[in-house]
Order: sequence, then structure tokens, then C-alpha cells
Amino acid sequence: MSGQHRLVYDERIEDAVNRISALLSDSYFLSKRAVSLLLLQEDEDITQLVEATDRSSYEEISSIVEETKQAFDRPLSYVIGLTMHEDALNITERSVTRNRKMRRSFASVLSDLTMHPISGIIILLLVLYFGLYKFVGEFGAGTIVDFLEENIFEGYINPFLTRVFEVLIPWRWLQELFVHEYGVLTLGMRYAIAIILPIVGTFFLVFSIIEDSGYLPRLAMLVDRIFKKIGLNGRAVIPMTLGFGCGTMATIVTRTLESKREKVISTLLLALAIPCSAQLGVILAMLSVSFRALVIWMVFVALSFLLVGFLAARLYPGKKPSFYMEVPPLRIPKISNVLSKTLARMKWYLVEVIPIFLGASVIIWIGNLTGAFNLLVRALHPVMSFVGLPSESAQAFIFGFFRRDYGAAGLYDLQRAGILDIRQILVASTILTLFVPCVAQFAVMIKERGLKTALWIASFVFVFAFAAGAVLNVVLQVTGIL
Amino acid sequence: MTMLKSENREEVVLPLSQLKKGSLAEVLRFDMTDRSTLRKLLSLGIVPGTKIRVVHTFPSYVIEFDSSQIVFDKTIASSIRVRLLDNASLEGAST
Repeated sequence: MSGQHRLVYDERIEDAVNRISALLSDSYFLSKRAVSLLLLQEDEDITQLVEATDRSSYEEISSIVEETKQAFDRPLSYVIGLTMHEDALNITERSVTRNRKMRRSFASVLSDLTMHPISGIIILLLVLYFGLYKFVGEFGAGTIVDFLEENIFEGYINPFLTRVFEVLIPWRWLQELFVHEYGVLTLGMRYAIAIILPIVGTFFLVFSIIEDSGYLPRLAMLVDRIFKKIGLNGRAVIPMTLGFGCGTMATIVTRTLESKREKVISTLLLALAIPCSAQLGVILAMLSVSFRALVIWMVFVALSFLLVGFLAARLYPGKKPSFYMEVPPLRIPKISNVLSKTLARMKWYLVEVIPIFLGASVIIWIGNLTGAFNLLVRALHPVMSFVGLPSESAQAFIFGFFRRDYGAAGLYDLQRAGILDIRQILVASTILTLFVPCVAQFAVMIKERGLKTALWIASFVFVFAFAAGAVLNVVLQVTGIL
Repeated sequence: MTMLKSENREEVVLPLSQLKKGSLAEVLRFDMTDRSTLRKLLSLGIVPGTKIRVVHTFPSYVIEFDSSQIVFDKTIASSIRVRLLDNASLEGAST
């Protein structure tokens, strides 16, 4: 590592670099040589920066760039890139020893299987079944939630807090802000810590394992063709998969997509047809009484996803995205990395999302106190009868906006009370899955996509969810499937 | 015999999208209009002269070279021009 490694380019490029360097002022954070090379490669940021900084000599600089461009029949970024690549190859040739064993390892056989159209889909289904259904659904949303909720919160924390606030605050209406049925602490905190955190926590754990094993690029490879039909490309599997954990986080991750078109379409699909883990947990529990209902729900939501994606891609014209990705070797994830990523994501969840959820609890409290919710519930009665549901379910949908799983949990209560039959449960679960994202996700949609787009998406999703619910209800009644 | 065969093959320039699974080829040039994709391919290490093996052609193209694998779609595959190599000539070239 002694001395500085210096790359020498083609004579004509070296000459241009020297001439441009002489014209540049000293005010750049990069060396003059680096700035000149970037100018020749027509790097947008640097070109703008130089145009603003060296106004007087900019014209001369751009004529040198133009002149040099004319001397080559390929873009200069390509010519320069090629030289860099050759140089990199020389360095690796000198310093890397390759193990020339050609034996096919188990990992490379498995890697091939994950990318084969048939075995790839079987592996995907296995990952979903064990990772999502068994671990997140049964262990996270079942075992851990039951323990935290029934033993810790209902057993100790909530009774304790209720007693404390009953002593501290003499007025019942103000006590209700903190404790009792809809209290910020007894309901908001309990939901966040005892129900949602274990579910998203186990999801983040599975997601980190999948991420570190190198499986995601292989999944991207499998779905690219389908995703192209809905205006996206294989790369979008990352936000879409994350959406099954937390739609709010996934909406932020759509930033990594290249074009505005892809960002808008994926934000729309996340808001519409990707149920988050919290919602999934409750919906799966409700539909578990009928396997047929579960299958219909899955197929119907998947079809809505494809249909809306397909239409969005037609209505929102733009450049077709191209798909390329490096496929890393399959690896066994390092436990320490997986754990630190999972913890970082859980911490993010606690810091970013919980305040919004607690805020939502306050709004629910105000809504109940002022009677605004009752008005809303009544306003929704015609919509409920339109989709064949009892009017009690309106409350679940309104709560569903504040917290997707509040809504699902509300329906769960109605089911247990025997108010809904299985067809109504299926219709209600489908509407709730498609229905507007939760408050936190909506807030992030505004932040990432702007108020106009977010409102447009939310109103479309609202109308589509109930229209789809009505269609499903009619189809179920006419065909008698359920 | 092998010599003759590989000399004949050298004349065949075709888009990567026409290669079959398992074939070996050498990248000759890129016929793409999209400069950012071109730059990306370069940075992933696909340059003229790179010897590649086609690992998958469906649902997307996966190629292998040196010790990396890269996946891309059909549009990109059809804009990469390659020369088909057979096993013998590839081994001859890499040693």
C-alpha cells in the first residue's frame, strides 16, 4: 500500500483533464482531477456545481468537454469506466488468490433451485409458510401476544395504572383519556407493546434473516416479469415484502425505487392490497374458522393487487423500468448481524410509529367524548348495508383508519359476539385489508409523496375497498360458495 | 476439428437474449440507449471481453462470470451483443 495508485487514461482524456483543471478554481471538496473527470463523464451534480462556481470559465470548460466527446464514438463515462475496470482487474489479479475448485457446493445447487420458475415458487411458499405463517403468525401473534397481553398487561400493568389514575384524577371523563376502555395507556400502549411489537418484532427477525441470506435478489428475479406488468420491476419486492411487516416502514423504503412512477404505484399498492403483520394476525385468526374463506380472501386480495397495479401502470404512463441486480451467493446469516438489524428496526418502530399511535388514541378519546364518532358511525350505515354488513361494523372501519388492527380487532369482537356470519366476516376482512392505510402510514405517504398524491390514493382506496366488498358480497351470494 | 468449429463460431454475433441456458459467450458490445443502465452494467463488471455463462433465461436472465452472478431482464439481455464460445475455446482463453 505504499505510494498513491494513479490511474492513467487515454491521452486525449488526460489532455482534457489537464486543460480543464487549469480553468477550475480551488473551491471544490474534490481534487481538480476528480472534478475534471466527472465533468467529462457529464455528471449532473458536478456540472451544475461548476456552472455555478466557475461562471467565467464555464463556457470554455464545456467546449473542452464537447470536443473530447467528439473524439470518441462511445460515451466518455463508458470509456473512463472501462479503464477503471481494467485497472481494478489488474489490482485483483495481483492481490487475490483464487481457489480453483470447481465442485458445485450445496449453496450453489440451492441457489439454482431458488431461481428456477417451478422450484423457486415452491421454495417461496415454504418461506411464507414457515417464516410468515408459523413463526410470525403462530409464535409472534399467538404465543408471545397472549403472554404479554393476558399475563403482563391485563394481569399487572393495566389494573395498576387504572388504580393510579383513579386516585390521581377525580373526573371520570379525564381518567378515560389515560385508562379504561380506550385509554392512551391501557389501550394505546397495550396495543403497541403487547400486540404490535411482538408481531412486527418477529416479522423483522424473519425479514433480516431472509435479507442476510441473499434470498431477496432471487425473489426479485422470479417476480420481475409479473411486476413489470404492474409498472414496477423486480427491485420493488423489497418494499412490498417489508409491507407485510409494517406498511409505514415499507412506504419509506419505496424511496429506493428509481422513478417517481414506481414510487407512486408502489405506495398505492402498499396502501391498498398489502396487509401489515398486525392486521394479518387478526384477520388470519378470524378467517381460520373456514379454510375456504381464507383462500377466497387471499385470492381476492391478490387479484385486487394485480388489477389495480395493471390499471395504474396504464393510467400513469412513464418509462418502462429496467431490472438488473447483483445476485450475491446464498449465505448463512450471522446471528449478531440479524439481531442488531432486528433491534434497530424495532427501535425505529418504537420511536417513529408509537407516538403516532398514541396520538390516534387521543383522537379516539376526543371522538368518543364529543360524540363525533357516533355521527360518523351513523353516516356509514348506508355504506354498511350496501356491502351487506350490520351497522355495528362501521365502528370497526373507523377505528381501522386510526390503527388497522384496531379495526380488525373490532371485527374480531363482533365475530365472537356472534353478530357476523362467515360470509360477512369474509367481506368485512376483505374490505378492511383493502381499506385505507392506518394513520401512521398515511402520514408517511404525505411526507414521501406529497399531500395531493396521498389524498388521491386514500380516496381511491376508500372507494375501491367498499366497491370490491360489494362485488365480493354479491358474488358470494349468487354463487353460494360460502 | 475443434479449432475449425470455434473459428466458425467466432463470426456469430448475437444478442445475449438468444443464448440458451448453460451456454458460454464473450461480451462484445452494448447496444443500449439508456446511459444509466450502461454505466450500471459496467460498474457490476460486465465489459467487452468478459466471458460469461448463462445460468437462467426464465423468468429473468442470470449470468455468471468470474465469481459473480447478475440478474437482468430481457430488454437488457437483448441489448448485450455476445459471441458464442464453446467449452474448448473458453478454457483455452481463460488459462
